[in-house]
Amino acid sequence: MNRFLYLLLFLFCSVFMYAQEEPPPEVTLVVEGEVRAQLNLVFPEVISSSRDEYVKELDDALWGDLERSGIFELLDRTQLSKVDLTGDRKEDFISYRSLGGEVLLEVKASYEGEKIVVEALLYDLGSGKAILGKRYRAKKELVRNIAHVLSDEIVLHFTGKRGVASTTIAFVSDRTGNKEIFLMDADGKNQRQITDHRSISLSPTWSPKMDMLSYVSFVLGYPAIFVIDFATGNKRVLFEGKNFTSSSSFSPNGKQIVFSRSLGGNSEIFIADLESRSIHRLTYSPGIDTNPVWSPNGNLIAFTSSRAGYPNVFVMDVEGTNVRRISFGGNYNDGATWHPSGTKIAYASRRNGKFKIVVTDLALLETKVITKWEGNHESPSFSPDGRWLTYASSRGGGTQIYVTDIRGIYDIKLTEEGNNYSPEWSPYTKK
Amino acid sequence: MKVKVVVVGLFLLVSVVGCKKKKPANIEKEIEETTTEIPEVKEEEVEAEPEVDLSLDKKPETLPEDIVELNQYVVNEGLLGDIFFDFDRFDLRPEARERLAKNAEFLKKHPELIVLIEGHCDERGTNEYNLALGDKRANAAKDFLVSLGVNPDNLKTISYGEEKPFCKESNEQCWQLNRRAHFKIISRSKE
Repeated sequence: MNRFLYLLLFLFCSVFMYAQEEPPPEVTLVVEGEVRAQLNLVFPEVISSSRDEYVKELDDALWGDLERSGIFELLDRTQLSKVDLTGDRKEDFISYRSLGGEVLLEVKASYEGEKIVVEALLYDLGSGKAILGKRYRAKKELVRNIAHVLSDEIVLHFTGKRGVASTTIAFVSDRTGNKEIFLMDADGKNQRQITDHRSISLSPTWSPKMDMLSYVSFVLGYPAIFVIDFATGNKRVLFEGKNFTSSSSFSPNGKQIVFSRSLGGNSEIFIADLESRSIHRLTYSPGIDTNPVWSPNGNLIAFTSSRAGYPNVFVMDVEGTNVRRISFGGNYNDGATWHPSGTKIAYASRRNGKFKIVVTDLALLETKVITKWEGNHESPSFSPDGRWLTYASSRGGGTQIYVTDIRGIYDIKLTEEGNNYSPEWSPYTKK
Repeated sequence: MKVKVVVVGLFLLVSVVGCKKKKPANIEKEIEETTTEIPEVKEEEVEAEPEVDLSLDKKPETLPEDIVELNQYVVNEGLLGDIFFDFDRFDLRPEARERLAKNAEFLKKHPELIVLIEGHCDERGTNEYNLALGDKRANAAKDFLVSLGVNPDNLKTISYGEEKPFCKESNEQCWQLNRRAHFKIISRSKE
């Protein structure tokens, strides 16, 4: 009997000493490439004296963001409700751990006049330590934005890379009867119209600082590039004139745009300086050259050309030299977009008569099909953290916008109203 | 003896909650310490994005009523007709050349008419590529009319790409109708 107790004591002490020598590490998570590890997160209902629509909105938005972040397995709340909480932190943490919880997120909301104040504390249930504290204040109508910013901070804490819940997706919608430019939050909520030309407006692209958005509109009677300056709300035509211009993409420093321009029926690629409006030409081919996209480091431009007989994706440097083809599968490859790392390009590739989103690794020239499901898929755009792709799909009649992870496993529909096209994921910040 | 019982109790607790996940074993001690250990929280203001005033947006101009009627007339009489293309092509089919010859005949008789040639595409491929392709189609039609003696100053071109489909279903029959160059009178000079 005594021997048994001593054995227990010994075991206990050795575990205890091990823990003393090496203080328990905070939970960290590395989301690298295709490996996906998940943390078990306990997120009890938001604590607030008034459980009104804004608090519910906060709860919903935060739950959705954390779930979509892909790094958490959120503990089912019905399971959570079976736990008898004592109010004693120590005991409650043990209860959460008994459910498999590794991290606890405690959120409190209160009002100060018309403003809502949200306080969040994140605990590592392993060590019992509070590892992140945040407090936000905003007009209560902006409660979803608070959820998004908070979620992104939590993702940043665990992965070293900010989440994308507070980013924005620009897109084209015909829900008003005309194609107009819209914006929505990354979770598909808060869809808002930002052009009302009652003509055809297309191809939104963000400036790197998110202070401008360019698009193409037919309102003048021909396709022309417009730029919205969000600070003033002003929309201006970039070039007046008969030659039509389209498909613009900002340089990473935000000072130039690359675009395509028609010269007597032949589309060629040009770069324009936004300040001086001076332009210079990059391509000289009798085929169609269009859809240029500037690389994240500013050195390269990907574009579509029919110079090989049918549309293919090419890459050139900003002088228009060193042109090389990067799409080899499929019989129609178009709509290139850069991965934020600059090492990969996604585009739509027609295979067996259907357009699929594919990603080509530029170093290896290896191509993977991302959207394997039915329907035509076009217009890919990466999230700024590089982990997600938004695209337009025509499955099931009509065209809608979806988000998939880069492995092509998750697939979330973001739009419902009218047809929706050409999603363009914003960069990280407005500042 | 009392002490030993407590130790066993504690150990069992640890083995249930802790060891299963190979977490450090001294949670109880740690937790007691943490209640005071809250990270410093700095308040941040979350602000709304600036509003965009939609009322200032330019709106398109529309064709005068008499020109709209004139367009209906020339189409009904078969004086001016559209031509059609193959997928991802802008070269003129033999029947397209025949149609263009008739259009040229009419336009040479009516040098007062200014005509817009619209290039259209089916929905497949990107909007941007199709804008470029529609442009090629409109210009292929224009160049052929000019070669037949139509005054180039009377011919304007525009590409609508896949943006203004004549038929909205997703099948080859529809797509064929949408791959076209469409002729539209936009003004009549006074002289």
